[in-house]
Amino acid sequence: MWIEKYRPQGLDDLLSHQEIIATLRTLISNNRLPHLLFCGPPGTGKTSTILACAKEMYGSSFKSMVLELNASDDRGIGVVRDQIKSFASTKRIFSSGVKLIVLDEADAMTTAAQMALRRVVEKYAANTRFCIICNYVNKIIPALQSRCTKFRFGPLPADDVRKRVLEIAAFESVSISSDGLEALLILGKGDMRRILNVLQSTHLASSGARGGEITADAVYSNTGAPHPGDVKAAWGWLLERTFPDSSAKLRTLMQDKGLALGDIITELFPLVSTSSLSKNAKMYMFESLSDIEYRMATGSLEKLNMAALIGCCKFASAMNAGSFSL
Amino acid sequence: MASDSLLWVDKYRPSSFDELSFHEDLTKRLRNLCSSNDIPHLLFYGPSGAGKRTRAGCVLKALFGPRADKKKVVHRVFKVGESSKQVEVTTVASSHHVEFNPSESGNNDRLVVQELIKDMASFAPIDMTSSNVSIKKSLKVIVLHEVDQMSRLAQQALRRTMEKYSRTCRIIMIAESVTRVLEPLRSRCLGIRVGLPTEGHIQSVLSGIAKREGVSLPEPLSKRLAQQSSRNLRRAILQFEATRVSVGGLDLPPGAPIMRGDWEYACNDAAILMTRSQSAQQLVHVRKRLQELLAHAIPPDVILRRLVENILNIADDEICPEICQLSAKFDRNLTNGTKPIFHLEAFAARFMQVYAQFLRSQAVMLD
Amino acid sequence: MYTNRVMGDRAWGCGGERWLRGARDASCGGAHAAPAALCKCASAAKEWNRAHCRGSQSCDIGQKKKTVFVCCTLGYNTVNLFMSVPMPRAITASSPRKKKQKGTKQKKSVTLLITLIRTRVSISSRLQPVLARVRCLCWRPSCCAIWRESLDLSFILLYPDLHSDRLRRLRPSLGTQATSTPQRSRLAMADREGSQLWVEKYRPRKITDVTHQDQVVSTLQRAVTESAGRGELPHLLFYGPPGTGKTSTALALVRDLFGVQNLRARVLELNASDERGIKVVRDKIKTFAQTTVSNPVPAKHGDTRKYPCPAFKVVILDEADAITIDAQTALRRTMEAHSKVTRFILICNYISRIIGPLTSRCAKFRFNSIPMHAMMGHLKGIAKREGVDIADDTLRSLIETSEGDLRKAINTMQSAHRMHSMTKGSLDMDMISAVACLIPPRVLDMFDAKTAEVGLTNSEVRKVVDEIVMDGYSVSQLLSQYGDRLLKDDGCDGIRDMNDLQRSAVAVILADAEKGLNDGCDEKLQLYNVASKISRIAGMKDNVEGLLKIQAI
Repeated sequence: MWIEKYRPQGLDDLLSHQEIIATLRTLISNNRLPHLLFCGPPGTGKTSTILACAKEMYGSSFKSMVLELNASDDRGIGVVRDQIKSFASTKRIFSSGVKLIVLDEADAMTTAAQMALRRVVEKYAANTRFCIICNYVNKIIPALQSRCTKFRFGPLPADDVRKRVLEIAAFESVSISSDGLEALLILGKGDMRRILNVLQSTHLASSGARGGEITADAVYSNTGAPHPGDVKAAWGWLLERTFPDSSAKLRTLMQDKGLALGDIITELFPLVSTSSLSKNAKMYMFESLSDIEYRMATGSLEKLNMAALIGCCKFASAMNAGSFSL
Repeated sequence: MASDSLLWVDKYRPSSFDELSFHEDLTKRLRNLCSSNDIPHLLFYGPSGAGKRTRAGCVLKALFGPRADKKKVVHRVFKVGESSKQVEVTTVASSHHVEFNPSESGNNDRLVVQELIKDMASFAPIDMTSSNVSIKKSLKVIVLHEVDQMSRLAQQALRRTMEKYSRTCRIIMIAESVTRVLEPLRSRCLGIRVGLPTEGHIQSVLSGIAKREGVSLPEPLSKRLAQQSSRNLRRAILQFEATRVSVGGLDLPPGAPIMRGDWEYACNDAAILMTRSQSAQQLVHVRKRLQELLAHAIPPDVILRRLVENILNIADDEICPEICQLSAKFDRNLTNGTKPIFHLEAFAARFMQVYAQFLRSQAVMLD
Repeated sequence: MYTNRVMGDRAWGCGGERWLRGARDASCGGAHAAPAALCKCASAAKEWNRAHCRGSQSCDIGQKKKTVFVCCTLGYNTVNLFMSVPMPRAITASSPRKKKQKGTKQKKSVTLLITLIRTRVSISSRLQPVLARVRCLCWRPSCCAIWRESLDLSFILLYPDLHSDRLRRLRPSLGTQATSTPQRSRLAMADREGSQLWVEKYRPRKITDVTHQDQVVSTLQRAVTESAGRGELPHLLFYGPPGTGKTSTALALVRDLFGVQNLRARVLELNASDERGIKVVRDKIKTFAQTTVSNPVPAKHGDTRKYPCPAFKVVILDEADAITIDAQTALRRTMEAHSKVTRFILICNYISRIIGPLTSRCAKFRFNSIPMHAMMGHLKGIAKREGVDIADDTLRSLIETSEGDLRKAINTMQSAHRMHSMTKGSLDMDMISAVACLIPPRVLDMFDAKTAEVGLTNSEVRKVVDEIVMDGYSVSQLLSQYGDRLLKDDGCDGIRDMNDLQRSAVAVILADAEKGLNDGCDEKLQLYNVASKISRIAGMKDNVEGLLKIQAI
């Protein structure tokens, strides 16, 4: 798997977040590492950072000084009480420095387990440091948050990502067109892992095809996301064509490309904002789109909501033309 | 009266296809089904009082003969998961079938359904003495009542269980509203729609019962009974019996008063209050009625429905669409909310406001 | 409230008074029957009771004449008549002032009462929820606030004859432990001969039998012959509309890889209705994924095919969109960690419902919906082999109602065939609608015509709705089929006459009503609303403002 193969090994290999890395480096060298709380969207380098730090701190005795627990391991309150506590309370002979416990995907820990954890964090602060990694910081109880220093990992900036992707593509001899690269970046939304995964699976899927170049079409069809061109065309039909016509065309589009109505609505939203409809029509469209999305989320029939989508687009264009308002 | 304490509803419930008196084409189809070698899973659906349960019973009798009539009540106790909580379920069983109501166990219905069906299906059927080895004789049948009230998880579990054990047991489901039955479950069963009988059918059933009981039922009374029952046969028979008891004796006068539930009168009252005058003071009176109804454990959606129907009968045709819209809106709030009195009262208040406006505009037009 | 347990899964019985349901058997004691005194209404009941009880205070024990008025409910709404039930000895009096006696004692006495009432009810009705509200004038109604809510409510007349129809009590059979029956997966089931479902009988056995998914089939075939032998099969993700062959392909694939005899050891199949929360991922799947592969069992006698039987195991997760996000997250680590020994095949309808990290670990295969002519071919073949007499255009409308889902179409055809096996002549659309819980075309036509008829009074519209609901048709299905007609420009004059904006308004109204039904609202009220709105829309041909207002919820 490419994400494992190209995972940054040392602190120098990390792509971005240079300020965080600099801070960490200073703290490590001064031996004043606090408890850490890494939060941010997935695929931005949180786990890689802490693993790289750990390697730098411990070198070869990495395995015995670091305990790593993630969401697929049982991390209930029992484990906190036994495993973590026993690891935290022992000190290795002939070694100075603190041990490290990494709790990955900590948002999945129950509140009760987190409560039990906070006491452990306090008690064994002398010889253990905790690193809590999560996506949503509000899922970590405030008591734990206050015991740690928070580092926020934002989505990776596009330029860094682009450079790295081209590097990896060169290593793996994958040819990727420029619009393919852009599509990759848009879909990835600053999540390096996702981008690499999509790149790898698109490469696998198109390796049988001629040339094997990764184009934007290949990327979109591989992830099941609607192509922006398709959505734009759909928006055009919805506004201009008659009711039965637009329904037939929309249905064919969804069937051919295997799209869900929810995906289309997500992509439609920015199109509505930038369209040339009147203010009233836009307001009406936003409200209707949100109603449709709400209904779909609670399990309504897709067919009827598709009809409702067509209906409100028709009303929007009527409002635009005749300057009506609600 | 001392010898048989059964209600007329139960006493004269048809137990075989020959005794069914309406929906003949449905009966014919069911007969065909039962005479074939194998039956699929069945789903009887339709409004209450239409005869779904009766027909399910007839199917059982047709399949298994008179043995199906020998029923016993069995209480089963199940353990819930690892905790020591126990769930108790009342089932009615004969040697070939088991019936129970999964929604009785509340949140544990999934567990109950799985356990019970697994139990049933894993044991060999009792009727081993029969030399007739046709498939249907060796089947066990599980009858589930009120399937639409089961939680979604329980329905999914049921679907899987149906697949697994379809060799040894068949499931007959009875539901009132087929919308609430999951689509995969519906597609695994043969759907049998049982609609409500017409008033003519009801009248003929009532006169049949009257004859067997030796009670004289004059035509106008029978017609009124059929009308007031809103095509619900069970209700009609029960009202008939109640009328007969209240009158005493065997000769019913045509003008005998037909008893209705207290709560129906209360709903009617509330509706009349709301349409007669609209003010804050009136709202207080209406609220009192509504609270009383709720205190008597009438389900709030029944209250709302009855209220709306009464109002629609009283109010002008022009305002009716608005009333329908209001009722739909407050019905939604009622379903999603937790305190029914708020929503019922809100509906009453809003209705009164709308109605008052309407009346005023009518008055203005007349001037 | 107890409503909407399909979608909402809310706590049962929250709010409001709580009513006991279906009490346990308790000892009936030696109650004596007294002749019933039936009263016509509450006031008369009050009089009667006052005449027989000493004042309105508590009823003493030992006074057998003390009676209790009971309103009972059974089934649907009927009549309430009060009847007097002689109070058995065991019921302890509880005066309103003695609040301490509330609780277990009251519960017991209530239980007894319910049992007494139940003895009156014939066995066949015994499963209906019996709710008893002890309307004893000695007790304040608010004392009875300990019972769970009943679902059906009505009032019923009961005869106070306790002796006949006594409840036969059996010793309650002790709790059944969860015995682990051998998991009969669909693999095993389909292989057994004589499987009754046509869907199982004609399910494709080999990958090459799966039709109309050429790209998938060719890639998988390559995978089986070449890479699987080398152990290079990636994790797979099959997605697409329901009934297009995803599960069949997965099953055929594992059968081709391992042969039937190895399936139980090498394959773990989990479906949406099995437990699949995060705990199961951590325990079951992880344990299965971690154990090393066993040696392959030799093929059965007579089976000459050579199975590659590569050195890994397969976990098939069917309906993967129903796995919670937490469980999916936990799953991804497992997939990563044990990817040498285990392969995962995820099957879902929409790929967007699987989290990104999982989809990016899998090779994705899209299953297209099967086109009309292919389905016709399939169904015709099955019809010939099973002896079903069905005309071509009936078959076509059957396929249309199944919306590209082959499984649904086959099931419907099988059910219709079973139901009408004795009738002569071929199956027609009416029979098929009856079987598949669909609304028959004539009912839909009537609804269409009546609601769109301009000038119809509201009461007439309501009559139409009443008819439909009383006949038992599913309102949600009605809305769905009506929506179909709207989209496809089918139907009779009602819809055809509507212009685009009118249709749009109707569409929005339908979607909203369907959501309401989904939430569990009352069908009749929602349909009243829809019908009255459609009938207003029919009269608003060019009135854009009016239409806007109507569809604004």
